[in-house]
Amino acid sequence: MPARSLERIRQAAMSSRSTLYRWMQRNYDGFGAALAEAGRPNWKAITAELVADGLTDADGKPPSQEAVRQTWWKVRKAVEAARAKRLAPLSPAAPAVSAAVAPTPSPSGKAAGELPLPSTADAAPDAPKFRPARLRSQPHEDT
Amino acid sequence: MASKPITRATIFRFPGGAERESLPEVTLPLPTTTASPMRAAQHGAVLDLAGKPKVWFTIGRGRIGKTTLLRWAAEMGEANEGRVICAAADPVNRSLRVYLDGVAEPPTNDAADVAQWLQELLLFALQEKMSALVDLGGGDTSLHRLLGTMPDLASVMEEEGVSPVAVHVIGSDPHDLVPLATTEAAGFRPAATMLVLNQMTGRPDRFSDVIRHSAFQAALGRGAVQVWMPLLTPDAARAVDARHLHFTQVGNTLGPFIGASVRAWLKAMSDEFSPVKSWLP
Repeated sequence: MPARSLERIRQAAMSSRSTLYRWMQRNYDGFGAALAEAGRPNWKAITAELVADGLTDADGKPPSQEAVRQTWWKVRKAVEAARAKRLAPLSPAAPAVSAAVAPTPSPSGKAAGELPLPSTADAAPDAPKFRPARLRSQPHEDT
Repeated sequence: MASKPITRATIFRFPGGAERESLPEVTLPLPTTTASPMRAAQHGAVLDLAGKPKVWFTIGRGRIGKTTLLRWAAEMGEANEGRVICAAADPVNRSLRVYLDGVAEPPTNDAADVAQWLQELLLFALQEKMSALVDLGGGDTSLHRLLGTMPDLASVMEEEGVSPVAVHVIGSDPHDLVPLATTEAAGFRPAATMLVLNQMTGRPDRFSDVIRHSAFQAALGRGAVQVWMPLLTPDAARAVDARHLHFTQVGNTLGPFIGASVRAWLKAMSDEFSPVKSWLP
């Protein structure tokens, strides 16, 4: 596939996310660890730091404290769901063809001005796995 | 691909007054049959997609028959052999997984999550040159979000060797044309576009307003193919759904009459979709 098309699709894929969401996703483990350590995080101070770093909400505006909390909640939900899916055993009937989109750890590449949190992998933690489906031999209610 | 803003007034321009005078002749009271009397005088040279990977974008309002169509397509095509990704973007209705193992689903119901998931799925299909059946669900926003940043999605996919197939499932209510009109206006007009008129929503003569509509005619005019989706009798549909059976496996499990209904429906589906058989993954 020409690199140009891939790059355009990657850009399109990321464009629906705020910079705040993407930053939280990239730094999920570190940010989460810092919050856990704080116990009752000072969201006002955290928001000020994030705004100072130039992170924005979905409208391109500095996020409010509430928006930061909600974005973190959404990122947590997405990441945890994706990780749970990855841990689930693959169906023995399914060919193993899904590795192409599995997260690939890479240097975190922290930009200057980011929160002083522990470094984390730069992988997209909620990258789903895709694999061919198969007709159930015995269709049944939800799994 | 340029997209032209489209207004509600443009989408819904109903024929009336003088235009009514040019309506086709009155339909004669012929005996009712399961055949489609309005099966189009259509299909010039239909695009041949045999052997190519393709991605079905199944578009339509809720409860219009998208999942039933996808179940059928999965049973008929390569999905039956485990070579096709089946995906349900619909945050509410994910009934495909009752019938299929390994249905891809977005990690959450959040609209942005669904949009990103769809983008990643398409990227994967392009990279792996794999076919996919995607149920976009009623009230889809994920495709439109993607088209907002990439209106030439169809061309990009074609360039990468994966054919996008727009599958618009439409009922007899002219408002069922809204997803078609908005998707076309957003620039998603693949060469392979199917307008599936689902007789579950009404007999063919109830579709005249839909077929006459400018949105429908515009799609036909640019090469879309009209296909009738035959009616599976409500009794048979309910019985098959209640037992979660595959259509092709019903046999006489549900009794000879329902079995015969399902077989007749499968035959009619095969006949109606024969012009676009090569579009099935």
